[in-house]
Amino acid sequence: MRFDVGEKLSLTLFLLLLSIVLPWHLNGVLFLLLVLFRYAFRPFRPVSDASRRRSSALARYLAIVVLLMTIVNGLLIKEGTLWPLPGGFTMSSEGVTFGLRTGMRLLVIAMSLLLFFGSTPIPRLAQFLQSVGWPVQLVMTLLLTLHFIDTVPDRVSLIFTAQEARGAPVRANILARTKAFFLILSPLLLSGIVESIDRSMALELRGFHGGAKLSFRGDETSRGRMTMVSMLFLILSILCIVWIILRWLLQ
Amino acid sequence: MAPSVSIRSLHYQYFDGAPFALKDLSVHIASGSCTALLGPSGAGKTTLLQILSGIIGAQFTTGKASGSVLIGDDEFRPIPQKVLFPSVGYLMQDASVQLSGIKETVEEELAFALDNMGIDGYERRERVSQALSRLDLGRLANRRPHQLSGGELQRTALASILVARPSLLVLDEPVNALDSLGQQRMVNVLRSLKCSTTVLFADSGIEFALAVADTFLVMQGGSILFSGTRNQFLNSLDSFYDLLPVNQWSEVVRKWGKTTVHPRVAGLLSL
Repeated sequence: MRFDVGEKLSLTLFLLLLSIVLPWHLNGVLFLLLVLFRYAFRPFRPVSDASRRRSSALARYLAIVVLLMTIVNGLLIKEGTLWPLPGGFTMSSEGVTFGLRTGMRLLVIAMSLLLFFGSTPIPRLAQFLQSVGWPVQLVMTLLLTLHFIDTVPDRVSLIFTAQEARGAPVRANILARTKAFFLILSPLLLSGIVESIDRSMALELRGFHGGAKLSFRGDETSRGRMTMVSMLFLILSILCIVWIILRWLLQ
Repeated sequence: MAPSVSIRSLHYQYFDGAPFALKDLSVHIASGSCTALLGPSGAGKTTLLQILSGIIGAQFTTGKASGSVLIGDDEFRPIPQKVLFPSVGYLMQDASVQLSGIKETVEEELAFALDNMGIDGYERRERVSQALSRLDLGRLANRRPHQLSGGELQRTALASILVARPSLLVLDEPVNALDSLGQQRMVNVLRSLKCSTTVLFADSGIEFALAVADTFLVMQGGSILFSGTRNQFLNSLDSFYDLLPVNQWSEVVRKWGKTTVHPRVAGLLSL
């Protein structure tokens, strides 16, 4: 089974819209299917070990966030059936449902994006975007941004290790990690911007200046053609949009 | 043909009111020569190299310059305002930044500049293969650039410049990530370019410079402090005691037969 970038992109769009259409329990099933999908289908497997590690870590964090979201909503909202808890607290059925609905949607959205970005090498994405007519400058800006985002976890880890080597307990617990992360945020962004400037400089020094001769050469399989699969997912996406609008009008 | 470079009374500030990065700098670099640009950090070496590549004029719009730069027959007043690709090839200090980050293999990375030049077909393959073999990168041709070691990255970065066949090659600390074998390979590459290409490279040490350069420039505070041949440089080495790294002086004494050194150096080396 072979999926090119355009097909993957249209599938991602469809999944994002589907997460808005489906009820929370079906979103939960969809999330599990997407997790399996990631391992079962070669075109959606992570392109590198780093990508696999980061995707798994992000999926774990998101699952924790969804759990917390559900509990907090259940405790704070006082509508629907109220289930008594020890200590005088109550858990509301409406709150839990609201938390699950939002959380499951978040999981499906995150997993769809992870499927796409984790399995698509940046050069392929560049080739595709250019082949469908994106301006070179826009493609380049996107590439530099993606490259920066890609390097953030490594940079954070490097800075934390350097701080630990000097005795700072930056990885001691979740509070210490959060505090340390906010402290390094601005130098991290600044260094990223400086590196992006250097990288753009380097590209210009090798003849890349958005001129007519520029090309992101690539394989002929991703030349922006509209395949049947892309068409199918785009039609399904349009149906989702129609359904969302109708549901909103009929409410 | 390899161009000569003449710089006359060049002043440069990164923005109005900033300290001068280059001050009244005048120098002549002969056609086909290999010139080492030495000096401590902050001397202005990188600024000078970036001016010659054209990147400063193209990217730093707040910069203030006066003087003139002559590269071959092209005169720029005060400095080049656009990147002089492909006639000038510039290797950055950080090799990881030099690579595009958007190519999947070393081979594709090397071809990036050729794609931008519109070179295709046989010539493209020929140039890439020549650059791969020249820098001994053949076995890495299909590797992903982000999987390379520091030395391999540095060699790939240089190869990615050489494929464009620049007539003036400007290198910023080209051996800072290389081990001794890598340095020797770089020496061979630069020697093989002599006559066909004018080479100017910056380095903070002196050992590599002595192995490959025929002309030496020493910079301090944005100005040229010394300009001369290898012998003249060796004879004047004592004057640069405070500017160049001491840990390499023993090598200089051993390899290049310099017997008279600064008294403080002699003390350090127990001569």
